[in-house]
Amino acid sequence: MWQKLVAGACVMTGAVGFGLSMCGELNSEIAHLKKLKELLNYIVGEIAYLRRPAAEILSIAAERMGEPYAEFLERTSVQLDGRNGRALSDIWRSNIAFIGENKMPREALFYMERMGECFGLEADKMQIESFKLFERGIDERIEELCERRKEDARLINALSALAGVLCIVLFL
Amino acid sequence: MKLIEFFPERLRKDWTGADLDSHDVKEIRIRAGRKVRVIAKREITMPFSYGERELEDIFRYLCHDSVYAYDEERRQGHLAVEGGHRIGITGELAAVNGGYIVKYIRYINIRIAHEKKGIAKAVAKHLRNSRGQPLSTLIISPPGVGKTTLLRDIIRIASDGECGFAGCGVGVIDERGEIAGAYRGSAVLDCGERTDVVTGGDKRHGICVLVRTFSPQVIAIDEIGKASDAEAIAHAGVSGCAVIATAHGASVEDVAKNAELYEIIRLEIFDRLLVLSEAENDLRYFEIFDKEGFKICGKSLLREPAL
Repeated sequence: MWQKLVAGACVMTGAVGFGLSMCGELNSEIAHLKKLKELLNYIVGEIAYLRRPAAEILSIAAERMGEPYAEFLERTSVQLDGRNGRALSDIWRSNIAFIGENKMPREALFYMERMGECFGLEADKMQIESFKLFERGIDERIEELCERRKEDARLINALSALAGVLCIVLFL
Repeated sequence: MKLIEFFPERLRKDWTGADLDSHDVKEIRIRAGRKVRVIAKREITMPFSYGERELEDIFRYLCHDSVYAYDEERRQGHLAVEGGHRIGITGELAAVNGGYIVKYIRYINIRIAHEKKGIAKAVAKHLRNSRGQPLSTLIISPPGVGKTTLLRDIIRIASDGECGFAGCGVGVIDERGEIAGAYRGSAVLDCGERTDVVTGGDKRHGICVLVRTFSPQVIAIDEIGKASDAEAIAHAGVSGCAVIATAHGASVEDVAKNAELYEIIRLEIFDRLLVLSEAENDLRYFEIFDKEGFKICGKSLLREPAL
């Protein structure tokens, strides 16, 4: 009988753990995408209000954003200011490699990399529109992920219920 | 800033092999489809040329890939980069929002700023009174002779209290970022310990800010000549500040042909008129007149070339 009890406990713990891990990944992705939105809003605000150049915006944003963004933004800003001959998009892309997937989920990293391609437009309105378009893409992705999280939560509930039923059958 | 740093990576190979001393270089002239020319002690024709695309790339690179941030400079046809170097741009203009903007950049002139500390020593004694207070001075010279360099050194010695100056608060209106070489608002070139710099904006606004809140004894302005400049200087004059300014021209008579400057000279706002000239041997000479037009210092050599 005690073996049945242990097996039942294992099944229930496994189902809950699996669900939590899936939700944890999704939560982390959503949190990073929201952080990217925060960065975008800051950049757009600085361009619209003070028309600061990118290097300056990134340096100030680095102080606000926290890790792993701060190191990336500061590094990009310093390299851009250093007049090493490279374009912003090149510097951005090469610095993405330094963040690494252990500090940020793959999907957020992909969006972060794409964000670097939004720079370099001529007029401030064009530049702002480019960021807003990108932001809409992030919004849609956040919505999708939130929806998936809800579905996963339903799946976990169902799995837990099934596991419970299985346990009852086993105990009887 | 090294010469190579004015160019994006893919164009740098052209400059790495060039035997140029950046201290001698005054200008780099780039014309689409024409060989690049470098103006140093003599004019040097480089063995390469850049196309339209390259000129656009150079401009974009000099703007740190943030062209939107330099919109106003693009309208004015020039931008200042770190170190006070001025980049002139022109080509085909397009009317945008009541002004003109360079639509196709086909000509770029990179003017290298040079800091020459001590060049104002020879003129200093004529530009202050017996108590060491600066006198209002108009520096006159043709373009490229070194007005701004001389102005910067006068500001520095007046501010620091060198060469008989008592040392005083100086407010600098640096519209184009050339005097102080301001980068992100901070002076890069030495303008003295008691100097406050307003970068960007216009002269009138800058003078109002300084007079209201920084109470400078001297206000320094580069390249005056417009009606609004005359008004701004008159405002500074009535606020009790000495004004040190520069204007394009070969002589006092030449400057007086400009109606606005004539009015300023007539109002005797400037106590001293300093005419700077360049001889064939690349040396700079100056002459100083008082406000009545009497010569108080004949043609004399600056300690070293001002540019």
